[in-house]
Amino acid sequence: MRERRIGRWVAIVALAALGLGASTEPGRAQTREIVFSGYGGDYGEVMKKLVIEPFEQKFNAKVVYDATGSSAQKLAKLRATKDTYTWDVTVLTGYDLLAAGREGLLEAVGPERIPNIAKLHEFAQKEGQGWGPITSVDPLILLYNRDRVKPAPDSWSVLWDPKYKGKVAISHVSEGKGLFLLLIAAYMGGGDEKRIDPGFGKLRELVPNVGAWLTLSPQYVPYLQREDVWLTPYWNGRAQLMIDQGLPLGAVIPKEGTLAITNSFGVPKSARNRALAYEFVNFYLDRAQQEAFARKIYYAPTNREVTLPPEYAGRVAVGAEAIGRLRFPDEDHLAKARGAWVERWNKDVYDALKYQK
Amino acid sequence: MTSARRRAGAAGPGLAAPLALCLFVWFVLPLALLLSESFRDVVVGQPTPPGLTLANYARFLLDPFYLGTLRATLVLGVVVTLLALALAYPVAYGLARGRHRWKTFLRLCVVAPLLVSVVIRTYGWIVLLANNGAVNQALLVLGLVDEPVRFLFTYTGVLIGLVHFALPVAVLSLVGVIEAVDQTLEDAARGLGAGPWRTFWAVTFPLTLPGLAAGAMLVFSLTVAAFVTPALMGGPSLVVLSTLIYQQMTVTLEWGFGAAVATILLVVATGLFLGAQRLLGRARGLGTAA
Repeated sequence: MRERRIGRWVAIVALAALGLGASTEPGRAQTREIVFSGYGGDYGEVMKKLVIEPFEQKFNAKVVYDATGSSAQKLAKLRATKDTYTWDVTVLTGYDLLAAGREGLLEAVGPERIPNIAKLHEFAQKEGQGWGPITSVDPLILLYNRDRVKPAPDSWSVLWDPKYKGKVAISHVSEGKGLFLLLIAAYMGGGDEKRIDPGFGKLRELVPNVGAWLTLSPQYVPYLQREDVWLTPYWNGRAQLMIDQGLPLGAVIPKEGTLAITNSFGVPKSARNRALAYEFVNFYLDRAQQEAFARKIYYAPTNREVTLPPEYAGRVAVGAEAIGRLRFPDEDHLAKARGAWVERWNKDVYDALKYQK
Repeated sequence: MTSARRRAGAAGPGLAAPLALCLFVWFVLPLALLLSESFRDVVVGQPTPPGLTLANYARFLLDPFYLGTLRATLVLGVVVTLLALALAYPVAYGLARGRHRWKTFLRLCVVAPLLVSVVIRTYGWIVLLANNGAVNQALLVLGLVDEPVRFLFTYTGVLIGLVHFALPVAVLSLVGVIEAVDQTLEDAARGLGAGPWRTFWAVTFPLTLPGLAAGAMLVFSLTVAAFVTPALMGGPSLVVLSTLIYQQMTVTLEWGFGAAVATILLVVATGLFLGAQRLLGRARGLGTAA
């Protein structure tokens, strides 16, 4: 008898919990609130202070900040939750935005919904079929230890220099830095996105010089601090922040040129408060926010109207000319080919390491 | 007595209901989803087509590279298990039998690593084992080596990290068993003329075998599923299934293949687990019969 009563209590408590959950959910939709999915770390701090707080005041709204996960993880979450509400706006890297758009997960946006899109550089106005504007770009630079690497390098080929055996860090090709290095290696060997073989060939030759196999950007910091590695392809924005913190590092765009990654904002089809979401994207693309963000994080703004004081020259790519010198990969092709490249990288590097011994 | 037991027995399902519900919602359902995903043909950038496929399994099972990663994962599991248990046994023995004042403190020391996130612990090892790290500096100062030993991104480094990760679990699973050994049996052996060494090997050790086996299974399953240590310390010369699954699930987003790899790991690990248990059961059966 008593057992049955316990069972019934469990059922009641469970139902009550479910009921509470269900009844609070619609209530939240009434308030002017959006959920923004961004990155953690410095990016998150700057975003909250320079964009979210002024936005909340201006629009008398609340922005909930979800800082979990990389761009790819955000795409994974969007795909997994599909029709269920997750976020109103999310950051995504170019190729992830394209994949999400093509899988039918994003709302198409243009200047009619987000007027500031018209103020962006032309290449930034539309990704895919308008799944999002490009909000900033960040080039891959060659980061080097100023005390150890002399003379200051000006070519990617320094990574292959036998002098720096064991002193190079590279990222797995499943992450943007590694992916772009593969492409740069392919260009250097006479190939490109569609003819990737020379890239894999050159990466194989790079293996003896690699002293650290890393993935996420924050992982690099202790290796650079302790001078375990002296040379690595790295994102410009984060590199400039480390230089500001006083690490003896230099960041250079090598003479062969470089690739830049694009950051976009997407509005999921499952967004709840679309009007406010469009306002938010529009607000972020405003000259004031774009400029403030570039000053703090060194991401190159895509708003044509932004200008920065001279001390930022060479540290952020501002203006049509500087941005014109950056190369943007065929993101469409990257989104498709990445899986196969990850598999090939796993096998190739494993193989190269085996024969090295 | 019997009625009390019957009542307790009948209360079982009711008391187990919350746990069963939790397990169903957070374990069985996700597992079923994973299994169904592994038969789907997920292509990034396209809506997933309906229909089932075996292609994900074929891609793994027909490729020597992936079979190699499966073998590497299992070998790593076995090596870590053996090392962790060998290191844990004396510690557990000391904890179970020692009569010192520090006993509680020592136990705390053993459990302490469990209170720290494995990510932090792994970063600790990275700092210690780096080319310019404390271990290498000590080796250089002592003149044991001429140039720094490479630990990071090598098998040795991963072994050190994983054994440390598994050690508290191994110790804890052994302490109880060693404590439970009836010491009068040892006294009897000593009384019959066996030395301490022989007493240990002929009496104590065999009696702790079930604990060792349980500990081995626990450590093995923890190791083959471990992700953080191989991901941060392993590098591309040691691809294990957990890092492969992570790549597929969160980076390339080829969920079908990732789910298939996860299912293969689950099936193989469970199979080994059941096989070991069966073998053990038979060995124990023989033991009592003799």
